[in-house]
This record gives sequence, C-alpha cells and structure tokens, in this order.
Amino acid sequence: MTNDPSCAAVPDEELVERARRGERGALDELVERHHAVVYRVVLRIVGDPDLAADASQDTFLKAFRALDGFRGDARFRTWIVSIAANEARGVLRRAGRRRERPLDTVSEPASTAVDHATRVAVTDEVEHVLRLLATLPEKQRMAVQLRTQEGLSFREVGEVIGSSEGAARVNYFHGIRRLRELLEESG
Amino acid sequence: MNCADVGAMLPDMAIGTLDEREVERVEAHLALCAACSAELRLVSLLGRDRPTVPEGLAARIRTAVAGDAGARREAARPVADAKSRRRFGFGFPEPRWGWATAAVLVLALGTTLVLSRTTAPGEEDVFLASLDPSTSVWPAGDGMVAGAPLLDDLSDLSDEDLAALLQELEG
Repeated sequence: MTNDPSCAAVPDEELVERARRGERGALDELVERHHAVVYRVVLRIVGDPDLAADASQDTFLKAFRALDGFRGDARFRTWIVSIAANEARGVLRRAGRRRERPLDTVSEPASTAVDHATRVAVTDEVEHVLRLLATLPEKQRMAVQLRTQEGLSFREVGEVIGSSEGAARVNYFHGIRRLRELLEESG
Repeated sequence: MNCADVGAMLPDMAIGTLDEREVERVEAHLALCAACSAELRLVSLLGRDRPTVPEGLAARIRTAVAGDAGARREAARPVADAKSRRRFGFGFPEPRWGWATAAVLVLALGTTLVLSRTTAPGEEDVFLASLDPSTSVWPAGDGMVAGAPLLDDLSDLSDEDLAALLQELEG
C-alpha cells in the first residue's frame, strides 16, 4: 500500500532525495517497498519472528537517520539490506545467542527455527529440498536462500554473509551444485 | 550464453525480474540444456520457502519512523528559537543578564549601607567594635548594644527634663 500516490512509480534514488528533504510520503514508500526483504533477511539470521520485527524497525530508523550519508553509489536496497544484516548480527550479540561456530561451517539453518506457521504452504517436494538445503555450510545455504528466495544480487548477498561479491557468487554456485548432487543421490 | 551465465540468471528468471530480452535468451538456452532446466526447477522449488511477513509490520515501521523524524526535528530547532520559548509569565523574554545584574545591585546596596554606617563622622560604630576581638562591646540580638548603659525611651522627655538629664550626666 502506498500512502502517497505521487511516490508509487518513482525510483528509489528519487525517493531518497525526497526523503532527505523531509518528505514523509517518500519515507513511507521506501518502507513499503523494502520492509519485507529486510524482515526476511533479518529473520534468516536471528531465527525469531519477534526479534526480526524489532530489528527490522531499528534497521529503518538507523537507515533514515543516516540518509545523508547514503552516497548513492549502491542501490538503496543493497544499502538497507547491509544495515539489516548488521542489525541482525547485533541482535544476536546482545541476546548472547550468537553461535560460536564460524559462519562457513555446517550448522542448524535459521530457516528451521522459523515457525512453520509463518511460512507459506509448501509441498513435500519442497520440504525435501529444504531438508537437503539445511545440510549445506551456512554461507552456502544463506547465499542460496538470499539469491533464490529474495532475488538479492550477488553483491547484496555478499553484504549479508560478510563476504565479497565474488565469494558470494562462489558460495551460491557451490551450494546449488551440492544440492543437485544430493537430489540425485536421494533419487 | 553458457551454463554459468544462465545459472546466475535463473533465480531472477524464477522470480520474474528478468526483462523480456533476457528471458528469451535464457529460454533459448534451456531448450537445449537439460542440466540448466533441472537447475531452474530446483531454484523454483527453493524460491517457495519465503517466510511470511507479519501483518502490520510496515505500518508499525512507518509510525516509528514518523515519531523519530518528529523528535529529531524538535531537537534540531535553532537555539534562539528555543530561548524565545523560555519566557516569564506574560511572554516577556527572560533578560539575559537579569539575575546577575540583580545580584550585583543587592551586593552593592548592602556594601554601601555598611560603609555608610562605619564612616559616619562622630558616630561610634558598635558593629565595627563588635568585630574587634579586643573589645567587650557587641551588638545584642534585640538591637541594643551590650555593655552600654540602659536608658529609658527618651522621646517622651520634655526639653526641660532632657536638659536636666544631660546636666546630670555631665555633672
């Protein structure tokens, strides 16, 4: 839903400029466009819907306070997704729930911590694929999830998993290749 | 377009964010490549696991953003503007040096009064005497001078009585 119809077809870059001038409708439209991806990125890191909602709100507050510092050499979505990932990692640190294992080791996926009621209905086939996905190293799993489920670019994926664009690309392709192998093995 | 190029675009293909020309190129490759077609199916399955966003989250964030922006605008108002809002009862601006000036005036007035008492010609200053530890004369709490002879109120004396009293004292 867009409160201000004049913002509906406006590119993010122009909305950012308007928001800098204090235009309330521009801020609302940026929230409308990006709150879902921010929420899901945070949820995949913290694994708790309530914490994810709080962190999503804090993400937008911090982003808009720092809007003057947004240089525009990246897309607004890339910028706010990176803020969201940092916010999510901060939530884990503050909650003392950060896993000691490094991110690139095999671990319980955040997606399994997400309440099934919050998901869309999925078929048995999808459940099977997700079980295989859960066995991937975390960086590979995150890269696959963020690329296939959120449509993030490799640069954005890198921002979230704390790596370069090239490393994000490698993690994605290794993850996909491994999933295909696991699917073939499982018949 | 090779398999690596197509593989990088398959998530966008599945989500539907490729433009028409790119879709045509990918579809042309998929028609000839079973591996990439299988990968597109896998990517499509993965893309169905999207957690739902809580209802009302966007409204909650918008409200928080509006409140935060208002608070920051209030905090950023010019100092002069804030001072103009700090007024005495009827809207008069608070005098900048008012309290300091008043304090100096009170201090100056008090000093003048003390000095005028201590320097009056021909008048013995019991207050100064009281500060001198070598003397036993000191002002008492009722305004009388301790150690001074007790006299009745002289205002009721007639001129004759007063002259007789002076003569008695001098005598």
